[in-house]
Order: sequence, then structure tokens, then C-alpha cells
Amino acid sequence: MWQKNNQSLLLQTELKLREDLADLKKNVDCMFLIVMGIFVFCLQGGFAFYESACVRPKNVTNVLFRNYIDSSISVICYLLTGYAFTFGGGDNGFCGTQYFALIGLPEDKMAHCFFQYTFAATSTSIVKGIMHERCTTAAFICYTCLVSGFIYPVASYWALSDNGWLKVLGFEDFAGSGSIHSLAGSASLAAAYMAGPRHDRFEKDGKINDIPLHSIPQAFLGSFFFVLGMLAFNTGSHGSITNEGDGIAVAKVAVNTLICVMASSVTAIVFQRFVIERSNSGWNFEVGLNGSFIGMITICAGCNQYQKWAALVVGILSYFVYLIAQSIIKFAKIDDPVGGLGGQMGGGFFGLVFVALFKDDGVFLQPSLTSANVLLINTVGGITIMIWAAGTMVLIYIVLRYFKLHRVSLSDEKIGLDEVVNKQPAYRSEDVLECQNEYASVFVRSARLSGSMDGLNRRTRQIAVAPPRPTKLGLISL
Amino acid sequence: MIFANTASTLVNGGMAERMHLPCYFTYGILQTGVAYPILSRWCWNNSGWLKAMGYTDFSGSGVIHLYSGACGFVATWVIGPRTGRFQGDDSRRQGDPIPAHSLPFVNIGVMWLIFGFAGFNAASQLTISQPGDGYVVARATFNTFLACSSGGISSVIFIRFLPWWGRRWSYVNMVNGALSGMVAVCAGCNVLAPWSAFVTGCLGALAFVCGRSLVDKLKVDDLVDSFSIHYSAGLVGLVSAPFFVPDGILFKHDVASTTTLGVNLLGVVIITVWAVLWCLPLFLLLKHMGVLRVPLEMETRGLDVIEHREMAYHSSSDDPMTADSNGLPDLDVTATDRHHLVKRRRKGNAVQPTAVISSSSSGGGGHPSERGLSSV
Repeated sequence: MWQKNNQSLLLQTELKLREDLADLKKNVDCMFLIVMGIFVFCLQGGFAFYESACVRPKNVTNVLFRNYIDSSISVICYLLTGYAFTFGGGDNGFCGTQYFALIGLPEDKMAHCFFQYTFAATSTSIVKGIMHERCTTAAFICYTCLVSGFIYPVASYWALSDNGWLKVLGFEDFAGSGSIHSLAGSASLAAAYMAGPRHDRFEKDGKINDIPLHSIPQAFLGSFFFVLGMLAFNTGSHGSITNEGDGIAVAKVAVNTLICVMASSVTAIVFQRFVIERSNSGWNFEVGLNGSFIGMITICAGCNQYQKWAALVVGILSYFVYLIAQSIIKFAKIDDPVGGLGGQMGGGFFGLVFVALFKDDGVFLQPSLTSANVLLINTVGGITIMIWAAGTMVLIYIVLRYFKLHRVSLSDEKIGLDEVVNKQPAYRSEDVLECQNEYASVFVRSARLSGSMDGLNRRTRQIAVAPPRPTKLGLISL
Repeated sequence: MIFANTASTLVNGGMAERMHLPCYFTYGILQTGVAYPILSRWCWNNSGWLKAMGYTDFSGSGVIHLYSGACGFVATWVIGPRTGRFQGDDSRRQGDPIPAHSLPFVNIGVMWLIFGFAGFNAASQLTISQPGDGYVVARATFNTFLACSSGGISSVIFIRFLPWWGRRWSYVNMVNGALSGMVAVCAGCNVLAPWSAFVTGCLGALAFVCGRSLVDKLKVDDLVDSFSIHYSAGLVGLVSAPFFVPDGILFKHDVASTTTLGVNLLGVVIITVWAVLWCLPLFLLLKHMGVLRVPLEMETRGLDVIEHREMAYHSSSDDPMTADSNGLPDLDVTATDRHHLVKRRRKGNAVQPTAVISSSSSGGGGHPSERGLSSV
């Protein structure tokens, strides 16, 4: 009997341990998704900085405003209808049917919902990035609601949900190269085409005016937030961390992302220096940033399936894809302030193509009927998603054009949307000048007091009137 | 400790541009060492009397935000407004008479705040290993972002359509509203349903707008809107949580839920009184001693120049390499000229440019602040 008691005690303990372990696993999975989602939200900050650096200072407040409010609007629209369309069960191939306004959402899906929201926010943010400096607030709110509430979720259902028609056919897109980036890219292409370019970008005689970045440090800050966010974007797409092999898979994803981003960035800088700007020996920084973006976008589709050398090759090739795409955009006279169209469309689509080519059982490494099928379905799927996005956007813009809301008036565009819409300039240079004048007057006065006023610069005057070493009493005069 | 830090930071921000440095230290020590820990024991510790009565405040709507908002209000009321803030025509645009000098910086600040709030609310669960913890953490983070968004949108709509706010799409007030939304949802974010979090965020933004108008009417210059964002929205959060939580007044109107409302209201009163009790005597004493506020001349010229001898923003006219004899930037300096300048300076003058630049930060001619005001 004593042995029986022991055995049942052991059994009970084992059951309790198993329960506790299962609970802990659920908790840790939730935490993984939440933490990764919070980092992906950093992308919003990255967009804010990079885009505000790309536009002229008279539009910076407007850019920041739009960045912020678009993440807010996409929360509401995605939670009302978007999550339902993407992950709402359903047995049709087009879109989901439950969890509208999150009614009936079980508790264990909240973390997943939060994580997917951050993806929707990214997609929506990309669309508005290409429309800066000339888009009306009404148009912006309109397409933000529709992209986050309908256009992106439906395409995401096709690509991610078990019943989505693309997924059923074998579409492979790990972190959303196709369903997020190429969708956003083609939607913004359609919008940019329908709204028209900025008034001073393309001259009548065919000349293209280059409107440069107004602040390189800000662009760099934005790019670094992008890298942070994209690392989380890709690693979080794995979905869990507690199953066997998860840690290794997530690590592989992170390493591949890094390799691809840096490969494309270096390719960009080197190509720019030795081929394009060979004559003036320019190590162009902005080009390096753009290169890193294209790398981030292209790797999304297959970062869990590439070997490290494949990630490197994809990075290098993606920059050339970007160059070609950007020249086509410029040739077609479509205005893109942030240089994102080539990246999003080209990178998104070719991300899908490359994954079918370079993955471990892909066309190059193990050519077979299955891998050729994946290539076919990825290509077709990518094109379909792009047509879906562009088509719906064109419809939206037809309506907006009827109400003359598709772009701001020429005078508003020239004054700057900060003054017109937000009535709040982004930089107050008069305060900065005032502070510099104060600084100058302090040291000129100190030099004058001690009688030395020569032609040296201010700093040397400061040294010339340097006081003796501080005494103990000096500390009181804080 | 992090929570205590947050509570004391808000007051410091509100008194910028006119507060004397030692007062920061005095206030900080008293606040984080004595006042806040006692309050948080009452409200969060199992043996605290407010907690025992049923005070529910998951992540500090009351304990942190209401408290520091009240402290901030008292402090900024005692110290008085910045010179010129409430005079003249600048008050034509309500809520923005002395605007921020760089909105990208505001943006980065808000971004880090959102990041921080998400962590703040998620981590208030305190454990991740108990059954069900993950879901609570997920819900808390989820609700935080939801309230942030609804707060931002509501405040933008209020400000766009209320006539005395300028009828503009205001960026700064939008982000302030978003922060208010997050503050309001802190009280119940672990249990609120998504729609309740949304509504709480909107209420938080409404509280911000009302609080801001009140502060401007009372002519209190509260730089970082500590009262409007933290006190008002914290108040709204504490009061609305007992209504919207799943076993709250809207769903189960019974004695237990009404008691929670009552205790939360009592908590509001206690926290406000505690804040006033600690801050009012302290700041009045410092003001009476004459050390609270910096002299007028120092305030108008800027504390950077006088207290720190360090400028935040330099222009190229401060670059010793390119400045000419009048200290103005020499715009025709090319790379070769710069090279010659360096060589000449290394050979000729005794003063090295590098030594000049480092003198204001360390070593060199003695600590700048130790020279005292008399040398200026």
C-alpha cells in the first residue's frame, strides 16, 4: 500500500509538472509575440524619421502627423474588420468570416492579434509614405482605413490562412514579402499615378529635379529603426518559441535577415562608388540606406529557408532589382519622395521569386516539378496580389478624383502642408539662433572684460581668459 | 524602482527653463525615497490599507500618473509661469503659445514613451510563469496600443473641431492625447475588453483637452502637460475602470462593483492630498528661501549658457577650423584649405583646436559651473 501511495503521488506530481510546463509554454509564446510586436511597432518610428528626412522641412510636421495617425487608424480598422478577414476561420478561399470587432476572440489569440496588427500598421504606413507632400488629408484617411481594414487583410488571408486560395495552391511567403510589401508598393504606385507628381519634380522639358534629403542624421535614425523592426518582423513571424527547434529556426531567420540587409547595403554603396559615381569618387550614404531597405524587403519571403550564402546572393541581386525598378518608375514619370516604390514592389515581388529559386529545395538546388510549381505559384500569386492592391486603389482614387480630393491645390503644396493643415512648423530656427547669440554674447563679454579682443576665434578667447583652478568655495556657486 | 523614477520625472519636466538645479535633487530624493514608496505600499502592497479596501489600479493610473500629475501641478503653480508665457498675443493659439522647437524630437520622445508604456503595462503582471500570465500580458499590451490609438484620434478630432483650439490637425496635441489614452487605460488594462479599452482611450483624450483648458485658464505654465495628461487622464482611468471591467458596474451592478468605484474615488482623494501634502510645503519653503526659481536674467538667456556653458545646437560659426576673424563661418573653405589650416595651427599657435573643444566638457580650465556667475 505504501508503494501504491508513492506511485500515485509520483503520477500526480508528473501530471502537475506537465500542466505547469504547458502553461509556461503558452505564457512564453505570448510573451515572445508581444515583445516582437512591440519591436515591430518601432517600424512606425522608423517610417516617421526616414520619411520626414526625405521631404522638405515645410512638410515635416505633416509627415509625422500622418505617421502617427495612420498607426492609430490602422489599429481601429484592423481590429474591427482586418483581423476577421485574415484570421477569422471561414471555409471559403477569399476571406475570413468571424471575429469582427474581435467579438468571440479567444484569449489565447490576443497576442497573435496584436502581432498581426503591427504588420498591418507597417503595410498601411508604406502606402502613405509615397504620397507625401501632395496628398489631401481626406484621401489619406480614406485609403488608410481601406488598406488596413480590407485590402491588406484579404490578400493576407489568401497568402497565410490555411484555406486561402494561394496557400492551398502552395504559395510560400514566410514574413509577408508578397502580402505586405508588394501589396503596399503596388497600392502606392496606383495612388501616386492617380494623384500625380509634385509640381516641381518633373519639368516640362523632361528634366527630373532631384529633391534631396533635408536631414541625413534623421534618415539614418529611421533606417536603424527599420533594421530593428525588420529583425523582429522576421523573427516574430515564426510564431512561437517553445516548440522543439524553435530557437534554432528563429536564430536562422535573424542571421539571414542580417546577412541580406548588409549585403544589399554594401552592394549599393560599392556599386554607386565604382560604377555610377566613379567620376567624383562619391561614397554615397543615402544609397546605402536604400540598399538596406531593399535587402530587408526581399529577405522576408524566405529567411527561414535560405542557407547563409543564399541570403548573401539574394541581398546582392536585390539591389540590382531595385535599380532597375527605380529607373522604370522614373521613366514612367511617377513621383516617389522616399524612394520606396522600387523597393517595395520590386523587392516584394522578387522576394517571392527568389525564395522559390534559392531555398533549400528550390529550383537551383533541387530542381523538380514541386519546386517549379512553387516558383509558378509564387510568381502568379505576387502578380495577383499586386493587381488586387492596385485595382482597389484605382477605384478609391476614381471616387476621390470625382470629389477633387485626390491632391492638394498648387498653392497649398507650395506653402507647405505644415502651415496649411497642421499650422505648426516642425523646426523653430529662431529659437536656435537666439540660443547661439546668447552663447556668443557670454564669451565675447568675458573676453572684453579681461581685455583681450583679438582676431582669434571664440574658443581661443575662452582659453585666453581661463580662470585659475577652482578653490573649495567654487562649488557653492552652482 | 523604475516606476518610482517615472513618478518623479514628470515633475521635473514641467518646471524646465526656470527651476534651480539643486531643487531637482531635493525633490527627487524626497519623492522617490519617501513619498512615493509610502503611497505605493498603501495602494499595491497586500497589507496596504487602500488595497485591502479594494482599490484596483493595475499599472498605476492613480499611484503613478495621478500622483505625479498632482505633484507637477502643485510645483508649477508654486514656481510660476515662464516669463512672457501668459502675456501678449502669443496666446492666440490655445495650447501652444511657446511651441516645441523641433517636432522630430517630440516624435522620437513619444515613440519611446509608447514603447515604454507597453512595457510598463505588460510588466505590471510581475510574473510570466503562473498559469494564464501570458494572456494577461497580451491583453494588457493590446489594450495599451488600442487606447493609445483611440486617444490620439479623439484628441485630433477634438482639436480640429473645437473653435478655441485653432481648427487645425495638430500633431503635438494628438500625441499628448495618445499618451493620455494610455494613462487612462493603465488602471484596468489587464482585464478590459478591447472595446472598453478603446472607449477609455477616448475618455482619456477628452480628459486631456479639459485638463489643458483648465490649466491655461488658471495661468499655470505646465510644460509637459503633467496635469492635463497624467492627472486628468489618470483620474478618468481610475473612475472609469470600475465601470468597464468585466465584473464592473455596467455589467454586474452590484455592491462589489460599486464599492470598487467608491474606493477608487477615495484613492483619488488620498493620492491628491498626499501629493499636495508633500509638494506644497517643500516648494513653498524652497520659494521662500529664494532658491526655487532662477534669476530673470538667467531665464531669459537660457540655462544652457549660464549653468552648463554648453550649447545644444552649434552652427558652423563655432567651428574653429572654418571661423574667420569675426567668428562668422567661412564658406569657401575647401578640403585642401582645411588641411593647411590644421598644419598651420599645429606649427604656429600654442592653442590646439582639439584642446579648445574639450575644455568646456572636462579638465581644461576648471569646471565651467565652478566659475560662478560673477565671471559672466
